[in-house]
Amino acid sequence: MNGQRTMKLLIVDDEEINIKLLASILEDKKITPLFATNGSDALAMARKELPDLILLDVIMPDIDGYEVCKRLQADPATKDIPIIFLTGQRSAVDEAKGLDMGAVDYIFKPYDPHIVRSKIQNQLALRGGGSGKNSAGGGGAGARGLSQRAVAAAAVVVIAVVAGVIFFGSDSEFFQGLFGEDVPEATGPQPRLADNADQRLAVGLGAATLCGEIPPVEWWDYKTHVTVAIRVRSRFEGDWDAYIDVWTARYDNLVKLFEDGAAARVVDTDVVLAGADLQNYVSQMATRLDVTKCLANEAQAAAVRAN
Amino acid sequence: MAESEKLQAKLDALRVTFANGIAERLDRIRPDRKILAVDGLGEEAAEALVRVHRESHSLAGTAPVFGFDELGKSAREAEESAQACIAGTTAPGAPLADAIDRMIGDLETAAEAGDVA
Repeated sequence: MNGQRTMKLLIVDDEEINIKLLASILEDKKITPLFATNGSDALAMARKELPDLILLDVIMPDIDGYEVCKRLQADPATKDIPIIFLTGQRSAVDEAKGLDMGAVDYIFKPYDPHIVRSKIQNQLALRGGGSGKNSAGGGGAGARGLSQRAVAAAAVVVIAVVAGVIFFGSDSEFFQGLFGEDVPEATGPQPRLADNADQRLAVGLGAATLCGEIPPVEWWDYKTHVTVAIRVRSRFEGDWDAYIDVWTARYDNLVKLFEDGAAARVVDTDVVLAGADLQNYVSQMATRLDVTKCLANEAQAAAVRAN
Repeated sequence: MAESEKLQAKLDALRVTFANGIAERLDRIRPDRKILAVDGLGEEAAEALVRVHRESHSLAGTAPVFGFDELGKSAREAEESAQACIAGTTAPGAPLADAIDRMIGDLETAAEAGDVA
């Protein structure tokens, strides 16, 4: 830090102990810490205080960190505030997603407090020399912030791809993990997705009706219906279009693999599917998409009614 | 005192704070563990699953920072097991229950660090 002014640091985490930890390790006369324990408060705080840097958790009870990031960047007043994701979402796909959204860094939990402190102090030092809208003034995120983000995102992609080529050659699993695509897989076991335990669960969930537009479906789809509804509501609320786009792309890809007679390794799992099992999974995914679209329509209708 | 020693002293103090908060976490997790143990799962169990996932996710990221590595590992296992159930890859059953029980056991062990500090 260059000592020119006090920097505002917004820490967003639904765990109080994590906020205390970050505030403690960053204790400094030149840093004014601000706190929020959910996405809504984080958005309000960011718009009111225009912090110099935001440390943002991803999984939170109301609006997740990705959505908070998206909304901040859609707002002209906050779009240039640099964001560091600090999260337990540890996959390369999540990291790439965070950086693609414009974050200047993506730090996995658990982290080393000494390293985190250095990274944050470096970011604040860069900001201290700026001359953007937060200047007191000065210090708001300007072209430098944007440039940093672009360089950070590009660097991660280049490093990841180069590392993949060096260490994995053309191994499809590595690139699948990196880009989140279902890719053909010719060998490996082909476990069945369904078993008696699933069936018992489905019977238990069968009475639940969360979306009236979905027609009656088989036992497996009831399970999908409920679990997807809960998952979508808890993690993707407010970001329906993006969620539907992702799952539509995966669905199209899997349909093509099935039609080609190929096998597929399902993203985020070790399950390899082919033949009837793949067909079954594609069918579930179609229901998943129907449910999601239905929930999106319900949310839209509710918003219209509220207005 | 050197900068790194100061930071370590703060971490030690927060480790006790973390340990002292474990009883509260156990009060949240144990009822959900019971709900998930009941045969014939319903919407209540599905909601318990989401809560267990969130709690274990949080612990997996936080506990190791304070030196509770075993708790971090068992919480990560519980998180992944719950995540698989939420995603529909597997159904709640013995593996999830075992993972939650291991996490509860490690929480109880970690809680002792708060009492004695």
